[in-house]
Amino acid sequence: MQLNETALWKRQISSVLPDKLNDMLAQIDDKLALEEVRIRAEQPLQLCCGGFDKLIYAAGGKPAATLEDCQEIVSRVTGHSIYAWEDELKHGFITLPGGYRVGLCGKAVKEGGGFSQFADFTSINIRISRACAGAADKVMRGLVRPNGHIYPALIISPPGCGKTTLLRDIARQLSYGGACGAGLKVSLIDERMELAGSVRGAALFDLGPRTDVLSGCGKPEGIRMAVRVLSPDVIITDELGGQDDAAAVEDAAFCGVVTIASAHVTDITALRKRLPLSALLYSGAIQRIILLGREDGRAGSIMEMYDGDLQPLQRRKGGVLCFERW
Amino acid sequence: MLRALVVVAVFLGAVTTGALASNRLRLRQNTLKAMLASVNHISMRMEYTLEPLAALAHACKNDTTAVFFDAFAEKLKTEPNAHAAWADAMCYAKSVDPGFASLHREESKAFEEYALVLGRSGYRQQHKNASLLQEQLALIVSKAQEENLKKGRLYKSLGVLGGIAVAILLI
Repeated sequence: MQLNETALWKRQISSVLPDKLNDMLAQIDDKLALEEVRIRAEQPLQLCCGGFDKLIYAAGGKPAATLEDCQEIVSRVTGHSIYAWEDELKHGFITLPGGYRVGLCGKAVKEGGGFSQFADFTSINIRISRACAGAADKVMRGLVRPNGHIYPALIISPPGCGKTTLLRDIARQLSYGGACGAGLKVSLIDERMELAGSVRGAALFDLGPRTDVLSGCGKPEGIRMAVRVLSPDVIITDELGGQDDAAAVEDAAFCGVVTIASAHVTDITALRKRLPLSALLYSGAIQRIILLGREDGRAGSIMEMYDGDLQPLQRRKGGVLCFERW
Repeated sequence: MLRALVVVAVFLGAVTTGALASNRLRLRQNTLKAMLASVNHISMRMEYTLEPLAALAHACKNDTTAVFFDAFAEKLKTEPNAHAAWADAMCYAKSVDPGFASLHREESKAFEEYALVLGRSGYRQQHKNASLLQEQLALIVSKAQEENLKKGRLYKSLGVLGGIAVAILLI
């Protein structure tokens, strides 16, 4: 289902917000390119848009939300059933239908010496999820080998620069085929249920006819499971981080399955220092790096594309892809 | 003739009043038993399915508790928390169902305390909360059963005897 974005976010998140916050949001322009709605106890409402933010106070300059409002939002987000979301709460987020990720912050509760979950929620960050058909148009050429096969790639950027949106459209384009050749079998490992915006397992975003979505499953297990049972051509997953994630991507590569993933990395220098990720470059499990950033404050700008040796593709003599190793 | 009719009417009225008082005790006992069964079911199903409260309410209702749990599931959509939804649903059930209307204050209080924690914590805490209510309810149900046995018969007998006494006086 293709989402009509205008004002959709208002409808999607209104069901979890108290009336007074909905009244405040109702006054916001529907066409505002909103990225995040941040609610903090005893603070104004913060709306983060491309490159700027806006603080909204209640009447009389009072804080927009109270501690009770924050508890109410969490109660509504969980369907008044915190026990049903214990695993997600351990990771500090819950995903709403539509792929809107609700990040939570508050008093950490420890159990057995380690972090268990949050209680007394004091900050809530709702990230507005968007389907942006065509977002990947500019990178697709760089992802396709001369023989029509796909390069394994890593999309890097600081948080909030459009990695998930780009991955979603890459999945869609690979699945449909067309500009990048015949449609491919895509397995989407959607640990946080944000990529597909899954509601009870069904993807809300258009991810193409050849895409299988494995939602709510950890990345390492998901990647290995997909390789074993879904025989994908391409695996797409979000936010690679640890050694386990990297090892799973490497395993998939050795099985002949291409992985396209994203990671929170600021730039190439930082990527070199993140050993699990840089090891993927050395092993050849990742052969393309797409660096995203913000231009004029707007997310989703492709700052640079690199090859597996971390050489910028554009500066290569003889064109973009003609002299690649594969 | 008229006197005979009045005597019969008074007799029947007294018997009916006694039967109604007895029936109220039986209804209370049945409602408490049904609520205990539903709470047991919710606790067990919560452990195995981790379904949200609204789904649990629909799945764990029975013929007697449906009036309450349907309203509870509905109220969960609009109320800020499960406690408020429970209170509203209980209020509604008491207004339309004689079984819920017959519940005593201490019983309503036990349910209210259960609802205060309902859905607001992790599974283990929920399980403890349900266990507490189950223990309280088991005690309340046994008392209600005893009361029904003793007072139920008493009210019925009093109704019949009272009716006979008034009828004799009228004759």
